[in-house]
Amino acid sequence: MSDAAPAPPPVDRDGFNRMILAIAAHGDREAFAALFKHFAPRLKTFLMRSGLSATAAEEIAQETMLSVWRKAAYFDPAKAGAATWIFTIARNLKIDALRRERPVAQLPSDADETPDEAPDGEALVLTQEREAKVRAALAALSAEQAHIVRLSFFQDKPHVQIAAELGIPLGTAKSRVRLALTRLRTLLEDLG
Amino acid sequence: MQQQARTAGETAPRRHHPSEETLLAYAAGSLAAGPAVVTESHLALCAPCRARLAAFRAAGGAILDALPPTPLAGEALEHCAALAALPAPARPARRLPRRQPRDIVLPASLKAYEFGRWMWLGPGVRSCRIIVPAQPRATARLLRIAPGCKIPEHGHSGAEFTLVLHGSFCDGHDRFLPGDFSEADGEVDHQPISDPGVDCICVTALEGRMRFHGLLGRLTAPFGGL
Repeated sequence: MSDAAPAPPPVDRDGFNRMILAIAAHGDREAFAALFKHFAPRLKTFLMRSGLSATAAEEIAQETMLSVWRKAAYFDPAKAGAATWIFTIARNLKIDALRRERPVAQLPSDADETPDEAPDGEALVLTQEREAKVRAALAALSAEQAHIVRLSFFQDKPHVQIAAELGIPLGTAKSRVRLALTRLRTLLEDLG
Repeated sequence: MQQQARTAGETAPRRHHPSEETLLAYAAGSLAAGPAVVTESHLALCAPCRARLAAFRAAGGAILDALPPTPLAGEALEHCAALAALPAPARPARRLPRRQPRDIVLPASLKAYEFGRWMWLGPGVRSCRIIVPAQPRATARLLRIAPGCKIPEHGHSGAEFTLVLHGSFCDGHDRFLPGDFSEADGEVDHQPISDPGVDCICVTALEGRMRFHGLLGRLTAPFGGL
């Protein structure tokens, strides 16, 4: 608790990767607590923005973190960084919750455990580069396009909200969504 | 009569792919179950789309990472850590699908599903439903169309997603070969015709409803063809 506003600590993305690996290697509870503190509240925000109630969002955020603990051995930083891996787990649990209303403690069988390409050292570097590229691409979008991309992750019909927000026809909003996502893709390709 | 039709392997590059919107919705988990089955079948055959999916997932991770936090209940971490200390519950054994069509070789992406019976839809056209677990209203189905037949009109208001597994069809503008993905907007008036020679086998789905869209989704349902 310092009184002067401290600069936010730099986010150590490799640190998150190492924490998951530490859970896998020796059940590192401190690493789990640190991951939980960073990701659980953000997962809750993400899930609430996806249309879940605060209660359901909190349950799935916790279930996601529990899966991080239990599936840590499947984490492979050569395939995806920590945030991407956790995002994908939450995505699968969200689909299950929306589709099944199954008991929350039951873990889903997701396909992500089976690697489809053999990872190696080169893959690790490529993955880190890809994730850096993705962050750069997101940062290079205009404010409106970044908003559209984020909205597209939260809603299945982003053009409906865009149309309402900007007071434009649905068809126009649809084209803007398409343009924003195409631009994101182009940026990702250009950065490559 | 029914010779086994071998479905597409990953050989030639695909020419028709899912749109950005569809792939991103799949990455985000908001694509309806039926279209997700069709998209998965394409992804299994298309390395470039798997790379695009990986990029969209990474974007999802980056967006998650940058979101403002919403506090959880005070004891959430302790609760979670206590659960983590318990052994993981045994996973229920995966039941093997009971019924699958025997006259075609299913691609790996569809082998986990159970199927309905082939139904006659019109001259030269048969269809069987793909049963998505816990998703009774999923709209995915297999279509088997004899050579040179029109795919019957099926009056859909939302988008229609189709992946060719075997044979080919032409929608008036483009030819769709095995592995190709067609995404027809409800507004587009199209009537695909299978090419001569062999049966055309597709997996297809209409844009269906995810049960859960929040208030906005329910309010806007009239626009979404739900």
